[in-house]
Amino acid sequence: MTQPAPAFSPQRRRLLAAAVATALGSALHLPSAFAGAPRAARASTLAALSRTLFPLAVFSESQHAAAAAKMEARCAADPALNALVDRALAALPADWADGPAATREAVLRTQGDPALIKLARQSAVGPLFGDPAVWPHFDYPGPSIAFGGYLDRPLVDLPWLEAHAT
Amino acid sequence: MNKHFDLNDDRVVVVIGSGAGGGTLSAELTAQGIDVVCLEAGATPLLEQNVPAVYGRTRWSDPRTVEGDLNPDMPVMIAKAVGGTTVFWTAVTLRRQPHDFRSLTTYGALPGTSLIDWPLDYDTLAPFYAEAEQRMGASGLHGKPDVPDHNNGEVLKIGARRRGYKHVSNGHLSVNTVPHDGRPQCRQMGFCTGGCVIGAKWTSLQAEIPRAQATGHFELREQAQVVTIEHDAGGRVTGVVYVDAKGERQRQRARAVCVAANGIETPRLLLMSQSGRFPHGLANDAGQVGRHWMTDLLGRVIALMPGPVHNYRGTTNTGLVADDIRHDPSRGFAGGFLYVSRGIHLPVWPNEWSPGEWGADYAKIMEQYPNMASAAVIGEDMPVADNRITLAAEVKDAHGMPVAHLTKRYHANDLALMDHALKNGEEIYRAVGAQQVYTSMSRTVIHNLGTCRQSRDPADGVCDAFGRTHDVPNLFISDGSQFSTSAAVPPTLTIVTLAIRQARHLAGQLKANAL
Repeated sequence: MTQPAPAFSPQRRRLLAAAVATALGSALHLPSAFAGAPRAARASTLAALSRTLFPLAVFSESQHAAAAAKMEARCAADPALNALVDRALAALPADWADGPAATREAVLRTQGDPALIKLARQSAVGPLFGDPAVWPHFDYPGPSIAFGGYLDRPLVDLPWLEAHAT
Repeated sequence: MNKHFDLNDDRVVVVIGSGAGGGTLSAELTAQGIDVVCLEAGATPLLEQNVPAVYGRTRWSDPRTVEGDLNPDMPVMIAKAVGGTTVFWTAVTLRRQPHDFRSLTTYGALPGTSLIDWPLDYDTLAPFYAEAEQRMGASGLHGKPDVPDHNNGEVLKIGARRRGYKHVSNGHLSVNTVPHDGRPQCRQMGFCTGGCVIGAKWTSLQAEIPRAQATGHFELREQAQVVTIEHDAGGRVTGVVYVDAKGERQRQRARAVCVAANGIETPRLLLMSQSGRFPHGLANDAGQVGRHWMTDLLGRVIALMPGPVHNYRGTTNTGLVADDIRHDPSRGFAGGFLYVSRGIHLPVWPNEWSPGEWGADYAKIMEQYPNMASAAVIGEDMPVADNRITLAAEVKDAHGMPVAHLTKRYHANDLALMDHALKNGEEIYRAVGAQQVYTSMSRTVIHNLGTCRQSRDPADGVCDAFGRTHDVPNLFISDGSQFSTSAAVPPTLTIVTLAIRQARHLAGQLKANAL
């Protein structure tokens, strides 16, 4: 089910503020502190990218923010990549990040730059799936050294296998 | 105990690299009283049960340029560390078959390939294979118990048996099923690829380097990256120039040099060692250095099963289906392959199943992680002369040296083999109720072979059956670069075996002053 985005969501307001700050900054040569607003808006959009790629409720906003930070870190080290991200984000609808999940996914599939999606995917996997906070959801215990490995634990338990004899 | 040798001590043998080849060679030479300086580009790795973190710190991340079929973002995954890529290896310990040493004779001259026979045969290596297996504590061999069954292996094995496969077992792994060689029994912890934190897995880091150090004839210099091998007017090697941990260039003199820097860096180093006598690189009079690059064929078969598998438990590669290692042209290709189970940890799971996909449907598959079973395909790839390592024209490394340029285009035989292996791999899992199967051929490779290959005729390769280069009498190739052809089994056992044999030969030559 798709729902229309609120006209003035916090995200939308941030984008507008960012646009104004950018315009003012260009026109008036304001101090660089004003650049904080577009950076925040971009961070929100990058986090929305992470959320769109892996839309599971178990992942927290701080995890998506960590994914966004990883994207930004790679951009900081690679000006060409940074410019590509700027262009790719500008090609998305201004309110893309505020839309419902299904809409975000549909728009990203048709209008998303493959290089942007690749960067987002590469950056998101670690912060999302590597965070011990989510491991119980995937029934994954993580490091086994604390309990001495599986040598003295059941290594073969496949009760479903009998039902799938051919 | 690390000994110290003077830079001007020209009685030492320099071994470049401390992995399966360099570590074993160092241990064997020093056991015979030969003084060895081992120069390792990497540092001693910090091991932990966090595979992405270990990879991030330890993988060889120097830049390379890429041409052809491999993933340009990560064409190769090997280590830059004391112990080399044995730190990451999953310990599958299998011999090549007798026909694997007669590749040209067995397969014929397949168009587009540069197949040759090895200059040695299986029977020559067999006693050294046995010695290597015992040294490494291989499970299921020489009185060592098998590794225990586990879910991921059982799903593969039961599926294979239902499909009529006969050579189905837990394979042979160089992990200790009983305490061995001063190292403990494997606890089935399941993080083999990040390095074994208790040392139950054979690695050069934990078995061979300590063995060499115990002799009092060994100095390991970490973070010492060799940039040139030098020679005298007579064409004999005299030493090496390396960049030390402080970034300063040093010259270590040597009576012989053994290169075991992995199949990419070994030929790169020879190519960088150009001179008036060797204008195309050291030991490259025939233009063979860097050519015939083989990577083994790697495939993945991942299946979503009807119930939990918890594939992360236990040794990564327990479970082997070896029927297809035979050469059987009726399948439509030359050479063979095998299946081994392969555990995948959650933090890298999205990189394994359809790694370009994303979105709501994909996320639902990711949530089925507990039900996932997984196997790897390892197959033989054909040598092709133009699949090769060269020096990049433009890109330099941190030391101002040209980086390796990698060219790899899979031969039609490679693709036919992998297609067959993946289709049949899917059928194995369908036979045990798989609901969905993802298969793919990996474009990131982990084995690098053939780039300084053994050959009878100096025109066909770089070194002889002992790894001694055809052009330079005191220069040896001591890693997988010397393989004349790849095979359906992973290379590590054969690298260790060749290193033991080379060490015995080299020590004899040195003691007799015959080199």
